[in-house]
Amino acid sequence: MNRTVLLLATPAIAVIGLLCLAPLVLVVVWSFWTWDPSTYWIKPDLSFAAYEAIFEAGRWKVLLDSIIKALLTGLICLVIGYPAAYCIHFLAGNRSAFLLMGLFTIPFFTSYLIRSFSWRLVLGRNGMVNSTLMSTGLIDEPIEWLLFSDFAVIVGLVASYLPFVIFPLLLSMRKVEKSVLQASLDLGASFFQTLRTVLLPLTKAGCFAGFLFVFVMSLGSSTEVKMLGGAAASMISVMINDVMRVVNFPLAFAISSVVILFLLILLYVGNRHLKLAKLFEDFSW
Amino acid sequence: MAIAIELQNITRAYGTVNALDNVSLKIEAGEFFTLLGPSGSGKSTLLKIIGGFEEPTGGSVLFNGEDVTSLSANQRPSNTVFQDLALFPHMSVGQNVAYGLQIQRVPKSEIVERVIDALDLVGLSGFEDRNVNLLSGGQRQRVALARSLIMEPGVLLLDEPLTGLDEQLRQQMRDEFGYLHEKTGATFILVTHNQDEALSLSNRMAIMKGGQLVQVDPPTTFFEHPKNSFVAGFMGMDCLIKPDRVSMENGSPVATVGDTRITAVNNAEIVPGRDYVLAIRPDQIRFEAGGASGPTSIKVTVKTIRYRGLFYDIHAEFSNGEQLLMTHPVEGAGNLPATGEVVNISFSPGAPLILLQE
Repeated sequence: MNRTVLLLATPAIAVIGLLCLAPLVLVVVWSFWTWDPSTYWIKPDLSFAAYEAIFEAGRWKVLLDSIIKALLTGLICLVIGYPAAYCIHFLAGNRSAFLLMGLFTIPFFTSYLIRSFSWRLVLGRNGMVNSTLMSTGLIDEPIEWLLFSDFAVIVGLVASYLPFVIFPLLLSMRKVEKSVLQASLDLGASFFQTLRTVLLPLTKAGCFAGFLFVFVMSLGSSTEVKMLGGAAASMISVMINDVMRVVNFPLAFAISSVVILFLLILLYVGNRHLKLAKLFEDFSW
Repeated sequence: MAIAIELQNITRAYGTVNALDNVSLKIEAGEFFTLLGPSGSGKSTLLKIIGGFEEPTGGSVLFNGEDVTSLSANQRPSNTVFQDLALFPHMSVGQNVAYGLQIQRVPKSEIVERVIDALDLVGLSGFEDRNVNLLSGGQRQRVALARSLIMEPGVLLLDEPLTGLDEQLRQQMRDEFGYLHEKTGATFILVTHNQDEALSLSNRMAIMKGGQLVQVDPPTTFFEHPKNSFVAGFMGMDCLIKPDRVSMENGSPVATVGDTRITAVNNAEIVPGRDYVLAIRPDQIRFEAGGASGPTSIKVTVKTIRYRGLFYDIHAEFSNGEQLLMTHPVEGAGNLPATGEVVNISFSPGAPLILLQE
């Protein structure tokens, strides 16, 4: 790299280093420290006590549950988001595409607290779903598992993070020439054959990126869980919050470190198979 | 000959603009047919309608006498080589070529054999495992051809497939098209804006303008009897002279250009009130010995002379300022007139043509 370019990039590199890498390193370093009851603060150490504590009190189960919920949310978002992105990119004209994108973004103008809370009005005992079903005579009693359940949490998460899957999908679909899809039709393939053999393989990087966005954000979510999951529901962020409340910082940092490590591995493996870098590649050939 | 494709009153409107305006055309089985025209003339739209990628707003498309207007591309017995080739970037050369057969669930052993044959046909033997993104322009072109030809289509549609290739490769691929047309016996329909391609390949061709067919004929007819000045201009008859007036004398049209009277070949009926032009190819004009006092009555003033390698380009002017372009062989460089000299010229038999001004 040219020295001038490097010089020009230095402030940006410094900012990235300061805001991104430094906190990460601190979290990992502090997770090996121990909590000093005499000062109510942490002191330097090389202790694995915090990591051992993860396997106590069912904490690992919360980790696993959270991952499963985030995984489901990511997959559901993909299934809903893919046709939506397809529609915006291939079927809608410029104006309607803009309008559709707007519709996905407008809910974000309100606070996420209100968005999560509003699901209570939809899914609750006397909510819209139950009252509609009861008035049409399909059910006699309200369905209980609609609210304060894993189902409600996943509905809330999907609603919150759906747009984040659509943007990367759109980005990857923009790179697929329309004529390539036409060529597939021309060679006799049906719409679904074209989808399976041409469009999906060409947009898999976008699928992975979109899934990753939703997965990471769901894994870190707490509002939706607190609002919709009921009293017993837990999630990594809720658990970390509880641990912090009793000022057990090393344990909170250890849980965070484990999550970060897990995500890094996921990113590495996914990138090897799905070539995330392709998203940022131009058609230079 | 059987009719492979028939278009009946095809119209395609985008909003209030008619990209195609009541086009009717019959293309014979086994024919190499070219749609020629400037960009925006509707030739690509017409090809897309034949291929089933666009629906006409009016009219019908018939394949072998059967109405296929409502059938989509995957149900039509035609295959297309796209302008941007549209190779599948995530598949190897072999996978690209095999794609259509895999969709048809042809047995695997047969696919392997036919892929080998198809690649052999286009001169890419042994390229099965190559990455299509790393091939040269010409090689990608051949993969696209093989991918279509392996389907043994009755009709092959070629949508300006040679744009983007350098001149040498264009000529090479052009010859390849001719060879493949002979070899496969399929009906080829080529869309192009290059008249060289059209002339050298077509059995018949159509010139399009403003969504309409201006003329449909074999290539030689386009030169001998272009329908109007637009066709003549598109065929490279750069020299279109606007006469002051045209009259019929002894059954031949006589054009008056300044103080010169030129008897033209009767190619169009002279209708009073319409505008006409004289069309002459540069190579159909000769100098007569004797300078201004030569044997013919056609006199022009030489304006500029340019050396072009195989010949000289000479721009001359009639007395009323109308321009004339002629060529002069290099071997006769000694006879070159001087700039500003008035010379006597004559035309080859069959020239000039008198055409409707379009």
